[in-house]
Amino acid sequence: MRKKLSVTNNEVEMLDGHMLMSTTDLKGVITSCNSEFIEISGYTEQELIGQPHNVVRHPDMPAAAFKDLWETVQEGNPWVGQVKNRCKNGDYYWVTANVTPLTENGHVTGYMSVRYKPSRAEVSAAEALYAQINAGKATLQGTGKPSMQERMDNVGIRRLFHSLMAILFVMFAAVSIFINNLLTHAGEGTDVTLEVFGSFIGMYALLFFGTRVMVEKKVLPAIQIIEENLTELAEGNFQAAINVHRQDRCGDALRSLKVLQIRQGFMVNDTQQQATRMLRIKTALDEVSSNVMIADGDFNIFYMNNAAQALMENAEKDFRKDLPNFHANQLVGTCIDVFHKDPSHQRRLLGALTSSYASKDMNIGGRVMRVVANPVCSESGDRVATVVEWIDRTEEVAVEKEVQGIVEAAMAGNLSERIATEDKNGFFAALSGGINALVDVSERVIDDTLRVLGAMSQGNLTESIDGDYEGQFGTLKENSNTTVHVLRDLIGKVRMTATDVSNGVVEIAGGNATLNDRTQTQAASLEETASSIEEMASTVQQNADNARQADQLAVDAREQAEQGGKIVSQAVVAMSGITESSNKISDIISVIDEIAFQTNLLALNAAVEAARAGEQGRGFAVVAGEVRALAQRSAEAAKEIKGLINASVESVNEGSELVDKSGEALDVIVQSVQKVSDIIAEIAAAGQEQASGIDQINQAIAQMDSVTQQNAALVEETTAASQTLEQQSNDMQKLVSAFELGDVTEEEELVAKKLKKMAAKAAVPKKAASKKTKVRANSKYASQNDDWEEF
Amino acid sequence: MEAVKERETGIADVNENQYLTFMLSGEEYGVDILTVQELRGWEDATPIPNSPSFVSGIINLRGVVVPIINLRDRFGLENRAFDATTVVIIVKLAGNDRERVLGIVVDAVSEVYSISGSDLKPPPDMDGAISIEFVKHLATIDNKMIILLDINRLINEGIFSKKETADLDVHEISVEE
Repeated sequence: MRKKLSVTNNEVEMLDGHMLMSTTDLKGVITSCNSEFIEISGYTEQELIGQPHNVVRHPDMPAAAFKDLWETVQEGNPWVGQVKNRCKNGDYYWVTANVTPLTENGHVTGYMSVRYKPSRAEVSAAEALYAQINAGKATLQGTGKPSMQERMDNVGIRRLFHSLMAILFVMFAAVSIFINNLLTHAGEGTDVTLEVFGSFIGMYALLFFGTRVMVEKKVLPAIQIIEENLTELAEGNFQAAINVHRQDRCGDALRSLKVLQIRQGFMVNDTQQQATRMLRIKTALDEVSSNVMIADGDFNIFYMNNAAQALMENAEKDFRKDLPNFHANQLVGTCIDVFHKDPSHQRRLLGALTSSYASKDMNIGGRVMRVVANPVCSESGDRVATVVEWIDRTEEVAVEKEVQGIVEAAMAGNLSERIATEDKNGFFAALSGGINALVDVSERVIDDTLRVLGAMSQGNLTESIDGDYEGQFGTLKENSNTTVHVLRDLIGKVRMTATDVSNGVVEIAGGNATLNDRTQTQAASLEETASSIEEMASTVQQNADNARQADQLAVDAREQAEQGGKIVSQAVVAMSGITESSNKISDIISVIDEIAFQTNLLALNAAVEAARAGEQGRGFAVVAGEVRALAQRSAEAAKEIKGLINASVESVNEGSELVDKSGEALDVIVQSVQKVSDIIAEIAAAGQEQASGIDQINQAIAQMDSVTQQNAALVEETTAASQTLEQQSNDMQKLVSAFELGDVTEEEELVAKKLKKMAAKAAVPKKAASKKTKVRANSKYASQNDDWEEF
Repeated sequence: MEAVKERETGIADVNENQYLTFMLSGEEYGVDILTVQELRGWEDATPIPNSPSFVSGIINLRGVVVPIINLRDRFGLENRAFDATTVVIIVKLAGNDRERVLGIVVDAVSEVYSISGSDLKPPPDMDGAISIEFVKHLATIDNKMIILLDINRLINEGIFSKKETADLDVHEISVEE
């Protein structure tokens, strides 16, 4: 029926003073067992309770022994005997078993076994006996008190006395022989043997008769009374009347029995009260929601409340991943080592525990457990139990991890994660919902910001955040929109500026080209200037020569001029002579003229006389006419001469003046020549200075030449740079045009227009302005016309 | 032309009169030669108190006191200094009761012309330097205009009124005495 279980030859010895206790129902099914039993058997409480007691039966035990046991106890008698039991792992242990039926109201309700540690002699005897029985060489006989009991029941006290006496006799004889042997071995003579035997026989005879009288008269009735009272006690009746007044040994026994009765009654009552209290506490503890587990001083679990049981059953599957030997149903009676991979550490930890200890989170097969252990000590300070409270933090930690995951994801920038709220209740649901809402808002804000910033990174400045946000999110929105706005404004201005810069750069490039041309022209001009300066140098040299010659010539001229001055003086003298002569001639001519006048008057008078004379004076008149004619001719001649002389005098005067002037002029010439000479000397000196000046000019031109060369190089570099700049400004324009500004608002447009106008004003010359005024004027007229039309 | 011819030949026609011409302020005036007593060069005249300004003075001409008339002054022309070539024409006029002799100062004497009556032309109705009432005729000789004066009238009416003449006569007489 039962499968063959493996056994080993390891014996586990019971500890001194330990009792293995168990109770069974009438069929031998274990209903309870104590911790020592559980410990030594190697099974858990769960594995033992409800099982037939023969789970610990060792195959070496003969069936007859158990048959005997069952027969004994079923008759209502206690059974005592040595039993070899098997541990779970196959080891064995010997016990001295005392089995007694439990009666309630005269009915047997079950059996109780109490086992002690047997002596080695008992063990070896039993071992030998059972071996023989098993081998079929012996039958079970006298193995225990049942046979004795049986005999007692059967033979009565008198036969018992005889038997006892016989046994005593044998014993006396044996002791005599034994002592004799001892003495013989000690070297005593055979005389001693006889003395010993004689004394023993005498002693035995005395004992025999005395005892017989005593037993028959006194002992048997007393035993009868004591038996009755003991039976009452055994049945749990502590209220039976006991005669405590008897004045003999029996009375002493009865008084002791009374003490036992009272004491036992008190203790039972007390125990029952305690049990009631314990039951209440146990019931309460059973139902509390905390997961409580209690282990005894050896760390064997002897209690788990319902919550703990439920937890363990719930967690069994997970625990097994790490603890393959874990069975939730077998925990009671098992050592707490089952929870640990390294039990020794745990034992040390719990063993040294003096106050409450809370462990850290432990991961057992994916479950997060926390243990709070409290030591329980007896009054004497011995450690008797450890209360362990299990806290299943799996869900909490899961939520923690979930929240941590969300937070870490958020910290890592992933806002798409959410906490599942369907499987959560209460605080965790509210927390999850709150965190989800927080992440939602953050995600929306960040998505909006990302959208705007992304658009900005693509150069699109038309995006903005439109959602309603509060607090710092609102500020973020405002600031983002402002940033975009400002950037758009800025880029717009930059774009205009870029255009202006581009125009400016083009102008610069043009200007540079012109400058380049001019610089080259300048260089050419410098070369020409250099050659001109060389020519000038030779010219200056020539000038110096010329100046020398001129000086010489000036000296000659001065001499000649001085000579001319002398000649002029002479001419002046000659002239004054001529003037004198002319004046004399003029005087003479005046005389002649007067004569001619007088002659004319005379002739006229003659003509008057002739006219008065009439016919007679005719001839005379002719003569007078002739005279008059002559006089007139001479007057005319004189007049002519006078004119000539006057003319010559005038000419001479003029000549004289001219000669004077010539003299003065010659003096001036002499002075001038002197001055000329001086000037020429100065010119010569100046020529010298010019020569040195020209040298300096040459140096300066050389410097200018090198500077111009440098300028030319610089201008080329500048040209290149301006071309690069042009390229760059084009690039900049392209870059800036990459920005999409969208519809520009009116205000911005106004600003842009203003800026453009300013730029145009700065760039366009006055023509434009005049044009504008013209246009304005026209418009004025136009408006006036309109007015007129309206009139 | 005809006159010139005659002057050159010196032969005067019966119808011809001889005129002495003189210059006054650029114009040539002529007087009948028969009224001319003689021609004299300028010599200082003795001034006469209380006489008109155009009377330069008187000279003693061979015992005859002759008043000298400054025609320029008489006719309001610009005075000029008298010099050696300044000529005084002594004219002799037959007055109402006696002959009158006086000298007129001219710029210069010019010619003696024989002019026939047919060449004489009446004076125009306009005044020259000398009032027209004293001009008798105009004559053109060698393309130049000669103003012929009525010397009698000039002297008697232009220069001397009756009273003046009387004074002069008295004075003349007293000088003679």
